[in-house]
Amino acid sequence: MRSLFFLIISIVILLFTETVYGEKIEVHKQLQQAIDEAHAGDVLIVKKGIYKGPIIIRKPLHLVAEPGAVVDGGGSEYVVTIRAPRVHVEGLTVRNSAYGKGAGVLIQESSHVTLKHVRIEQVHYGVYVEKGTHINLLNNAIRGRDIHFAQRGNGIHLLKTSHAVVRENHISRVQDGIYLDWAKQTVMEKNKVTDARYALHFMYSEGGAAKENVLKENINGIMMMMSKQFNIGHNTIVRQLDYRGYGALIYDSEYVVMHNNTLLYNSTALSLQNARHCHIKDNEFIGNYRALHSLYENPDTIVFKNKFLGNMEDALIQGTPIAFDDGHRGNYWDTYRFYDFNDDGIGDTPHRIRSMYSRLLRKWPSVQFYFQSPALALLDTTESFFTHAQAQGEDHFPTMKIDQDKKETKERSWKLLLFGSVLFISSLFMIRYGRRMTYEKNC
Amino acid sequence: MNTAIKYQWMMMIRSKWLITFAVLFAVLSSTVIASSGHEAAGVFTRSTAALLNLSLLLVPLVALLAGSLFIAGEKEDGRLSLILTYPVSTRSLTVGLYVGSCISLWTVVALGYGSASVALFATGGTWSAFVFLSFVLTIVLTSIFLAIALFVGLVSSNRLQALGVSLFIWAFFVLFYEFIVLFLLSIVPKQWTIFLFTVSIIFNPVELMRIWTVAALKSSAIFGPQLYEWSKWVESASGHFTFIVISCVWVIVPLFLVNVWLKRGKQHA
Repeated sequence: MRSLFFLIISIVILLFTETVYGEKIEVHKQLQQAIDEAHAGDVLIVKKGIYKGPIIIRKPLHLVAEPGAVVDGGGSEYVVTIRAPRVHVEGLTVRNSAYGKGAGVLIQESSHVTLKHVRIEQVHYGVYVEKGTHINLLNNAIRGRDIHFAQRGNGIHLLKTSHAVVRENHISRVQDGIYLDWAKQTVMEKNKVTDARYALHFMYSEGGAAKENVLKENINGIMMMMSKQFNIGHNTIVRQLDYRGYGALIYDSEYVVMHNNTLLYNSTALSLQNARHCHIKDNEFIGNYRALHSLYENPDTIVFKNKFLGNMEDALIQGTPIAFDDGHRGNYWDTYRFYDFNDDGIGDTPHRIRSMYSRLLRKWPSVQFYFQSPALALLDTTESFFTHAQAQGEDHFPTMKIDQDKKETKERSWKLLLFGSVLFISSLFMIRYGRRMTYEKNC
Repeated sequence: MNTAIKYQWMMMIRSKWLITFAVLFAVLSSTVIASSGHEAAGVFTRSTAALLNLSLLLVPLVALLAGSLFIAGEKEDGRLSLILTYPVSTRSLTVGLYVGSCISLWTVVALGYGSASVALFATGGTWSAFVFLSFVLTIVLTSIFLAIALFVGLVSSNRLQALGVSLFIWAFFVLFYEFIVLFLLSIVPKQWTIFLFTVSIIFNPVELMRIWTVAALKSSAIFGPQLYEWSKWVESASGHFTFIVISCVWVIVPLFLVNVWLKRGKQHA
């Protein structure tokens, strides 16, 4: 029994070794020729230099590039094409695909392909995966062209692909950062996407997770349409400040759990539009122009255990009412002004979400010009004291306490203290000096 | 001119209620910042809006009251008539009165912003462009309303009249103006919207400062998709240049009128 076990292990190791670690071949020029001449499973060490593209890989290979190894497409449609399983490309720089079409790397009908530490620049699409399975895109840097986003391609496009892992990539200057198109079971972790139209774009996709990504300064952070069963957690979604900018927009999708995300300084942090059976919980909505926007019907979607801090407008409900508690816990609202006499951590009266400004806005969209202006802010505050004012929504279990950890660990700004101290001390000096002046001496 | 500046500064800074306002402004701004719960982030947030609104509500009021009541008081007590007999040119006198008043009120604003910054630091806030920007624009706002206040003070026959006119001007610019524009918006054709908003900024320094602050923070997306093109313009260099020109006009025109009035008064004296 024991020897049988060792025999199986040995066969597995042998098979694995044969596949991944074949002969090591150094490549100095003619990369395509070296690929064609290599045997399946060979390791090609691509030495420093500029190699002429396009390159096509049709067999399982391991391409390890030394720093400075570049494949230049010279304007060809696809600079590197992979049409084989178990291909591993590492450390290569891929550049110059055609304008308006093609990609830096095309992976077609392949499985177990890995791109690692690959730098892709001056391309239309970065990586285009079509009908792939178990594709690993790790630690790559993708940067598109400096043109309007409508003319760019996507950073990573996964079409009809399943079980892809997209981790720690840095994607910028593209149309959409990571685009899931009929994709299944995709994991996106620790990626950073900036200067894109949509950082993460889900279309007709199913299953998977987006975790710990940083989505910064795009038009939209997350755009999810006609998709289902996603876990969106621990992402930082910051500064989507365009007038149509959304931190996340969930449209016609279902069974999405959005949790522990930080949505900071967005035009609208989260918009729910026909989001069904979704749970929005434990997120932080901080400093957004509008924290939550609910449109159409969002049946069985619950927004609870979130923190709403310093948003100009907490929520705009334009469709059917939405649930702001799960029957036990609601959200923390910094605009909630009542008490917790029984000390159970839940406010004694429901938090009624209402805004005269929102009602005006629906009638005259141009009123947005007076967003948080002195007179309208004053009127809004006054109205909040009248309980008969029509509420847009109600949180029946508003949380009274807030976790202060984040505030305590916040880095202090000595520049601020210096500025404040200089102003404070000099103004005190000026007041003292002015008050001690006498007409005879000084005038 | 230096003598006139020093005299005006000395007299205004001795005003007890100006000092009371300084303390009030400092306490309120510190409270607003400290209770906002997070840092001013270099974009237009509710805490930045709260501090800005505090400035937009209080600073015009104090500038108008301090400036107009002081000058009306000087006039009522006969000190202004005395000053007009001095061998000082009216231009020097106008500039002296204005700059002296400005220094006093800038000091008050600096005290408020200084204490607010310290409060922000104490609550774990971080430095952002907004703090400095808001301070500078509040200084500009103070300067504009002081110019208006000097004129109001001069044309008013006594302190009570100056008080009434100042309060009316403040309420008009800060409270009623927006609703008047909103009313006009509801009756004019839609294509006039941008024109109406642009004109409304020109004729109200409070609106001018509010829009300028938002534009300088590159946050004019808050004005919404209806005003997208206009938002791009206010954030551009030509937008900022226009704001500077309008601010200068708001200072120069009242001061010119003050100068004319003083010249006439000097001839009578």
